[in-house]
Amino acid sequence: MSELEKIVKKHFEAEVPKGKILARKTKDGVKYFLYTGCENPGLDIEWTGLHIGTIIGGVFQPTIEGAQLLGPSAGKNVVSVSREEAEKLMSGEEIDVETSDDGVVLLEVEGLFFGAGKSEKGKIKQFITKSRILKK
Amino acid sequence: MLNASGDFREYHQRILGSEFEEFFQAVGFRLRKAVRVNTLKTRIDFIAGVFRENRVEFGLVPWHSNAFFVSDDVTGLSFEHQLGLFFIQEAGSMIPPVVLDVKPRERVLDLCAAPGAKTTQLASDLENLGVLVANEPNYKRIRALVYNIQRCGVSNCLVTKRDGCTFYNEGVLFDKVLVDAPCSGVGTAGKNRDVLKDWSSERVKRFSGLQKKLVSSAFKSLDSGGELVYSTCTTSLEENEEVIDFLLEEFEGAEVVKVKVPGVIARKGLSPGTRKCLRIYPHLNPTGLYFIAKIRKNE
Repeated sequence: MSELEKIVKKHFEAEVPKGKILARKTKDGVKYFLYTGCENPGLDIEWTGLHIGTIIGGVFQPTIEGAQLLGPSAGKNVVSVSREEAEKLMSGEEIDVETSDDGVVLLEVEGLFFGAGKSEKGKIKQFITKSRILKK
Repeated sequence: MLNASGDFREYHQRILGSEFEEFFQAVGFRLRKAVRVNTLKTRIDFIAGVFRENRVEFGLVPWHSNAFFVSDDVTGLSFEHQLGLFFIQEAGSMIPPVVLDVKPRERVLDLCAAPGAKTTQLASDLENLGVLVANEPNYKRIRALVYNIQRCGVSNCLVTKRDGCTFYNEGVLFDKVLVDAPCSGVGTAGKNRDVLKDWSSERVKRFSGLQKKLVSSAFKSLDSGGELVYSTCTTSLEENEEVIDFLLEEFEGAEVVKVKVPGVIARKGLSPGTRKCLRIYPHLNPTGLYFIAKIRKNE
């Protein structure tokens, strides 16, 4: 079992999606990519597959797409929010939550996974890149 | 009021004849907004439900089973768009991938891929299987391409940064290739008013030279029995029929394949070798302007 599989199993009780998992060390941590295509026929590549998340300090932070793939199989650390709260989170704002342990959580609204965030002391803030922030 | 160069009028009166005035009126209009549902992430009925809930007016696009014409209030700033559940894409620009008709597990090359509307459409058709090579020579445009690939959840794509004209030197063969070529862009006059004013036969010839190199490179990258679609959003013979006639002369195994797109009224190509190609005009359809050719590589 790979490091990513172990972390995902332990923290979310979820399965890593099927396909080739590629890891790339960056200054921000180890980025993980899912690739479901055929073997690269020898091309020099700028970008491969789908970025599903980054391990920073031993903690896996799923991207929006990572959360969408892991979410349906996740058994724990999933937080359901209202549509209004989801839009706040996607806008980069914090929301208050009552029943979440501290740590990384997958975020879900009406059955739709829309990312992951950090839960701490009754508040959640979504991990979201600038280009994906919802502008009001 | 749309302003066009004298050259433009004279040239287009010659190729469009009595249809010219109607064409000229239509080509300057802003195009009707459309979205393509991203079936890698969701289903069409879910997005239809979201539109109903938000009182968005929508109607089916006849040539794509997962696309809607929508009212202008649908924007790229909406929650579902940011989640990659749909792509705002001009309905006519969905036609080249529809004509290419890729199947899951095929090896597909998108030679001029950025910003990625057609690339992500091809990925949906491939169901994230096979391989999709998305090539774009410009680094800034690669960033937009990667953003859209990521947003749409595409996991079978390899992005390359090559000059499309020499891509065949990579020595990799594909089942299908899309060449949505850079062009003089008459079809973009609705959003870029200067296109018709700046139109000149010199500019058209410059594009034509580039397009011939691109289509040759694409053809050389096809495996035997493979197919390519060549498309532009412009009108000139030099950028359309002449490019396909050049390909047919240069390569013995090249054959033009007849195409028909449901719900589209199209004119035939204007040279004897390109009668099976489509000229799609905005005065005949609720779309932009396109030329589309499908070529098979025979043994």
